[in-house]
Parts: sequence; structure tokens; C-alpha cells
Amino acid sequence: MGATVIRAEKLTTKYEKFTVFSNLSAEIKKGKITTIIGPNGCGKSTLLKTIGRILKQQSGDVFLQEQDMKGISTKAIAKQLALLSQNPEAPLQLRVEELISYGRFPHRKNVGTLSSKDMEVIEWAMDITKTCAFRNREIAQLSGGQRQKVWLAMALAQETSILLLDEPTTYLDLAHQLEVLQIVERLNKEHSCTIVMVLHDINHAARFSDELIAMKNGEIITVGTPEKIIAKDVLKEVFNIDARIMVDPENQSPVCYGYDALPERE
Amino acid sequence: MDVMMKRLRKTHSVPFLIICASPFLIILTIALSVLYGTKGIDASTIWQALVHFDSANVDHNIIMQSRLPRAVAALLVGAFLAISGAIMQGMTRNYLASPSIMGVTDGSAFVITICMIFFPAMSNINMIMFSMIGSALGAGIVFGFGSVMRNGLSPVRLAIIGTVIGTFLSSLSSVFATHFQVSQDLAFWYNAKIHKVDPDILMLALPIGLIGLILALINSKSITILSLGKDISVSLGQRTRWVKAISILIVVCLTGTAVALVGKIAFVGLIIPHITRFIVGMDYRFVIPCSAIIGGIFLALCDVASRFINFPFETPVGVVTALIGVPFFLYLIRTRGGERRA
Amino acid sequence: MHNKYRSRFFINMTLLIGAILLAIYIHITNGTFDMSVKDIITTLLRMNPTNEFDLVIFQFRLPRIVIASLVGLGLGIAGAVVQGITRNGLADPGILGINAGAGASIVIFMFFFQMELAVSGSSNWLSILIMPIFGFVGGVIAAILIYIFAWTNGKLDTQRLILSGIAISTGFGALSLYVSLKMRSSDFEMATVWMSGSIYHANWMFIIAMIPWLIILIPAIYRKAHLLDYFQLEEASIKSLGIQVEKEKAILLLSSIGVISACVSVSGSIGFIGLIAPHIARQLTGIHHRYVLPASAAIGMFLVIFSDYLARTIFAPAEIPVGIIVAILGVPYFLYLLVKTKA
Repeated sequence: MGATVIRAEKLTTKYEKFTVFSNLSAEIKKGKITTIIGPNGCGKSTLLKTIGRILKQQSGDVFLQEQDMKGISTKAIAKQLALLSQNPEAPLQLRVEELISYGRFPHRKNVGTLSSKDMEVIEWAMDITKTCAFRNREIAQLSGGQRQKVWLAMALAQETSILLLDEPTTYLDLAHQLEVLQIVERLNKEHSCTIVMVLHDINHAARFSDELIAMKNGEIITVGTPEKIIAKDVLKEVFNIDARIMVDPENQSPVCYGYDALPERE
Repeated sequence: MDVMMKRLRKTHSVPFLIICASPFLIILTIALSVLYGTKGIDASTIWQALVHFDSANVDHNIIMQSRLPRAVAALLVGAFLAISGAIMQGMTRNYLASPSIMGVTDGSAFVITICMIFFPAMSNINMIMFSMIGSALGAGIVFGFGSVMRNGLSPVRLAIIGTVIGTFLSSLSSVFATHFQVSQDLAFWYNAKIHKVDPDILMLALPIGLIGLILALINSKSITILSLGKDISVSLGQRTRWVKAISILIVVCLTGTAVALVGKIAFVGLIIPHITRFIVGMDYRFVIPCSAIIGGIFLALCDVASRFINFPFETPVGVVTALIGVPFFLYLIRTRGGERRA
Repeated sequence: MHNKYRSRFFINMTLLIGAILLAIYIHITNGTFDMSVKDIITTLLRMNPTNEFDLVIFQFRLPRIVIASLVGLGLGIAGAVVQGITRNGLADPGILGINAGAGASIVIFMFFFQMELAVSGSSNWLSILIMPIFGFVGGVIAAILIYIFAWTNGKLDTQRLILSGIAISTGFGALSLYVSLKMRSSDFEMATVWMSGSIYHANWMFIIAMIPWLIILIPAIYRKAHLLDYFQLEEASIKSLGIQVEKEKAILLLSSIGVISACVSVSGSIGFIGLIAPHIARQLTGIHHRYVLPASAAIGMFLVIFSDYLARTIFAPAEIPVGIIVAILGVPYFLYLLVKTKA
């Protein structure tokens, strides 16, 4: 364990004319759950999208299994790495199962029909995300939590060993947030899937991650285990808060149970 | 408000300069327009024609029957359309508002078509009246749709509705025209042939234009306030509805007359107010008269250009205004986008 | 699961083909010179042909119907593709100015070459075959302009797309008018009639000129139909699936422009078909493009054949350009869509 599966080297990404980050380097370890945290606008989603080749970097390289991603076809990348974007959209009349079957695109040669292998993977994806019950419904008829699980299932149908999730819990209620994260955890534990995600809730990040990357103003402040990152001084530096931290007796992960905003620093 | 007023005051010198210089500019434009054409005419002949008109002299006839009415018509129509555009933009705070984009001119042309078919021997004054009714009809349909539709009054949406309804009305017109076999006469209104302007209608249009201009000037202060937004104008105690009603009346009169004179001409009412505001600022007391001057001179010069683009043949002046107007229009959409401002 | 869509599709296609046949029947039998079905069948089967029937059918009505069908087919498909690519239900090649761009470029072509080529009758062939290529260049220029003006923050802004299209359309229209005014009066008349969208000087030569384009490009588009389904997702999801979005969109768009140019070069600019047909097709067959495309093509065929019949007969013997009939039918539909779509 501990092998690097994705390595970003000296990345510079611009959004329109604004440089989000420059010369940023990061590593993602195989088989781990890595979560990027940081305040709004720090560049965490941009980093995730650049790694997932959704955004094109200005300079720098991303290596997937030590291979430069620029040299791999986008379809080949899609067999190794799937990304669930923050605001996915689909036609409302589309049926759940069909949407999930879209995830098979990179594996399909014949566009007309799904192979039995495709069917199998789709069933598996629906099974893990517990979306079988509404497989024949249209997207329009689903609740926000159900939709998110369907989107997750579509990413799973890509059958990749790496999964990038951009704020997968936004707009969900507490129970659904937990449900989605537990699916992610299961994927990691049982299917040794490497997960990289962006989360806003630091307690969720602490509980479900093996590694945290803390970002601020387009820079990586520090990288480490939840115990190391969810600490008074790091949170002070990254979020500018005075946090009170304890250890959850149930699962031994650090929990921030209260905080105060610190005065703005120059 | 204070800052606003200061900014307005600062720019007073420019509009006064324009207004003072306007008589000379206008005379210069008329002179250009009379001098240059398929047949060159020298300045002394013009003077002769004005002082001692000789009905047997061909050049004199060209000047008095064709060139001069044409120059005056171009000036008037340009001014009418520019004022209409300025009022529409100020009133609706919509930077794309203008008679041709909002279907007003198409409405006029449509009603004129109908009238030409059913009352071929229409008197000039009636034609102007019907053209005004047509303007009101076009504006009514477009703004009616705009208010029914969600967000329909936003600049871009209203412009889409306006152009599409314009297409519809002109298609209907051409079907009627084909059916009653008057397409030949009607091509006139669709290609805006200034050179065939009828001096009699021109004489009727002058007083109407003058009344419209005076009303527009009286109303201009209220339009400035209206252009600051509904909340401000209400809180300043303005009777918004009344001002709007008068403004619409002016637009309908001026655009109707313009179409009855020379047909549909696009883009003058859109671009001139923008250029004018850029030069003189946001105060409509100056925007309206200056738009009139700049619009008139602009169209008259386009008309002169139209004689030379494809010499010795005339190019419809609408082609010239479109070739200038389209890039400007695209530039506006590109830079201003969907924001709601005049 | 799929069977539901498939059976719906086949039922609707059967109905549409029925409607097309009906329209053809009405078109071919009615007019200044009425004919019975029997007359037509006997003429087509060469059973005691008369010169009179031969002339009306083979020289006038049949080429018109064939051209109307092909144009409707092409515009219906191109409209569905353009709407799919831009994810914009109000997009239409006519409204976006692609038709006008192709048109202007063809008028310029007529202006520069027709005069010389018209001298020798045989080389007219060449000019008719080249016309769609010129149209293609103009269409591509229009598409590029639209992208330049409507592309903001990395995506196409729906409303701006349409307004830019209208403006570009007006600009190319003015350009065409300007160029056509420089032509000799005989060419000018042909050009003006042609510009407002009409198929009354239909002949078999035009049909032969446009067929290769359709035969090559339409299957190419249909092979990529499934991609249009994926394009309904948002950009990040499409990319993540490993689809080369820009490249595929460019291929689809260029193919559609090719189809449009072929149509425009024979019939002039007919707007709104590319708007209406895909919409009705989606209502009938759902959201899968492998069903939407054929349905849209069939609806386009029906609309153009029927409109051309109206254009020919309403005010007979006067002819109305079919483009105008289509606009009168199309505008209310467009407004209805505008009311329906959320701002």
C-alpha cells in the first residue's frame, strides 16, 4: 500500500483570466480515500477537475499510474477514472437505468446494444447504490438524494478503480449525506476503489477519509491524516476559525464540535 | 443622485456644441446630398434652382423634385427613428429597444400593405394615419407577448420576440401582396427607397415631426427619471403611467410617419441613441435632441453613400444601414449581454 | 424497457409516412392542371403516356416534390443536430443565420461565376454541382461568427445565441441583397426569388447535385446519433465519460452545415423547419436521437411538401415562396415554445 496512483506536478490552471493556482503539486495514494478541504474559492474543485481532465491546465502534468495523462486517450482515461461533477444535469424524461447505462460508454464498442457484461456492471452499480427500486422511473420523479445516488451509480458503471467526487453531499439532507458517504466508504473498503473527493463538512472529511489535503488561496497548506489536519492550528490557518476539537468515542475520528470566527487577518 | 446630477451637468458643453453646430451640419449634409448623385450637379445650378426656378431646366427639376425632397426625407426619417429609439431605450431601460427590432416598423408596413390592397386610392394623410395605427399594432403585439412571457421584457428576450413577430408580419404582408398582385408597389416599403419619396407626403410629415419632436423634448426630463428605474421614478413622485403613455404616443407617431415616408429602415433607431449617449451622457433632455440631429445626418449620409456603393445604380439605403448596424448590434450583445439597463 | 419507445417510434413513423404519402398525393394531383391517380400511375408506369401528362409530372410536379422532400429531410435532421449540440430548443439553422450565410455565399458565387458559365450550356452542370460547396463555406463562416459572439464563460448563452444568429442572418441577408443588385437583371430575379426560399424552378439537375451530400452526410450523422443523447448531460459529465466533446460536436456541426448547404443551394433559405420538426419529433418519440432523427426528417419532409403545395396553389397562378408559408406557420410555433421555456 501507499503507492501513488495520481501525481500532479506543477499544475497551473486558469479559470477565464483568473489564475486559480499555479505550480501546484499533489499526490493521491492508491486505495485510499483522500479528501480536499478548504474555504470557498480556494481552488479545491478546480484541482479535482484538472486531475480529472475536465479542465485543461495551463502548464504542468498529471500522471495516472505514472503515465502522463496528455498521452492517454480520453476514452482510455475514462476506463480508469470517473468523475461525478458538482451540478450534473440530464434530460428529465430519461429513465434511471438508461442514465446509469451511459456510464458504460467508454467500454462499449457497439453503440446499439448493451453486452451482458454491460448489464452485469449496471446491475452491480444499482445494487451498491440501492437504486434498483426506482430503475424504471424518470429522472424528473426522483428526490435530490435519489438523484445523487443515480449519478453515483452512473460513475460506478464506468467500472473504474479511481473515483473523483466533487462535493457529492451538497444539497442533500443529513441522512442522505451520510448514506452517500457510506456507499463511498464501502466502495473503498470492499472494491479497493481509490476515492478523491471535495467536501465542505470537515467532520465528514475527518470521519471518512484516510488523507486530507487542506487548501487555501490556491495553495496546498498541508497534507496528512485527519488526526493531523483536524487540529486547532491547521484549522486556524486554513479556515480562520478557532475550533474546539474532541475525538468521537464511537469511531475514534477527530470531531470539531464548535468554533468561533477569528478576526480577519491582513 | 448628487453624483448622478454632477455627472450630468459636467457634460452640458458637448450637447450645446452639437445643437449650435447642427444648422451648419444640416445645411452641409443637404448640400452634399443634392450635389452628389448619378448625375453630378454643380453648386451654382443649385443656387439658381433655389432662387430662379426654371421648370424647363432638367437639373432644376432634379433638384427640386428629387434631390432636395430626398435629402430632407433622409434627415427627417433619421431623426424620427433616432428619437423613437432613444425614447424606447430610456423608457423601457432596454438597450436593444428600437423601432425596427421591436416590430414597430413591421407593424406599420403590414397595415400599409393591407390598406394599399383594400383602399388603393388612399390619401396621403390617411396613409400616415394608418401607418401610425400599424406602429401601435406592432408595438402592442410585441410588448403584449413580452409581458405575458416570463422574463419576457428582458432586453434579449424582447428583441427575439420583436424580430420574430416582425418576420411574421412581413411574411403575411408578402402573402397578401402576392395574392392581390400588388407586390411591385409594395416592394417600395420593404426596401426603403428614399429616392422615390413623394414631396406631398413630405410636406405633411414635417408638421407631425415637429409636434412629435416638441412633445419628446417636453417629455424628456421625465424620461431621464424613468430611465433611472421604476423605484426611483415613483419615489421622486413621477406619474409613471402618464409619462409612458405619452412616450408611446410619440414613438408611434414618429415611427409611423417615418415608415409612411420611406418604408422600413433598420438599425438607425438602435445605434444612434447609443452613440449619442456615449457622447452627451445619460440626460435625455440632451439625448433626444442630439439623437435627432445625429440620426438625421447619419441617415442622409448613408443615403449619399447608397448612391455610390454600386454606382451608377442605387443600393437600398436599408442595406447600407444594415451593413453598419449589424456589427454594432453584435458588439452590443457581446458586451452588454442580458443585463437590464438602458 | 426499450420496447415501449420502439413501438411508439414505429407507430408514429408509420403515421408520418402515411401523412407524407398523402401530402405527395395532394401535391401531385392538384393544381392548375388536375389529374387523377390513375393518370399518374399510368404515366409513371409508361402505359400509353401522353406528352401533356409527361410534362406536368416529370418536368414540373415530380422534381418539385422530390426536392421538397429532400430539403425537408435535410433541414429536419440538421435542425435536430443543431438543437442537440447547442442544448438549445430554440436553435434552428435558419434563425442562427447558417442558412443566410450559405445563401450569401451562393449569391456571391452566382455573381462571379454564373455569368461566364451560363454561356455554354454544358458547364452549367458544373456550376450547379459546385454551388453546395460554396454554400458550405458560407455556412461555416456563419457558424464561426455565432460562436464568437455567443460564446461566453466557456459556454453558449442560449438567448445570446439566438439574437446573434438573428443579427448575423440580417447581415448576410443585406450582403446577399447588395450582391444581387450588382447582377444582371435576369440573374437578379432568379437570385431574389431563390433567396426567399422557393422551389419553383425545380429540375432534376438540382436533385442530382444535392443527393451525394445527403447520401454521404446523413448516414454519418446517424452513426453519431447516440452521442447526441450524451450531449444532453452537462459538459463535465460528458467529458468524464471519455467523449471528445469538441471534436465530436465539430464533426456533427460540420456535417449538418453540409446538409444545410445542399438544401439551401437548391431551395434558398427556408427557416423554421429545423426548429419545428425536431420539437414535434421529440414530442412523438421521446428523447433518444436514434428515433428523433428519423422522425424529425419525416416531419420536415411532410412540412415542406405540404407548404410547397400551399405555396403553389393558394393564390394560383401566382406562386408564393415556400419559405414565406413556412415562416407563417413557424412563427406562432416559435413564440409558443418561447412562452413555454423557462427564462
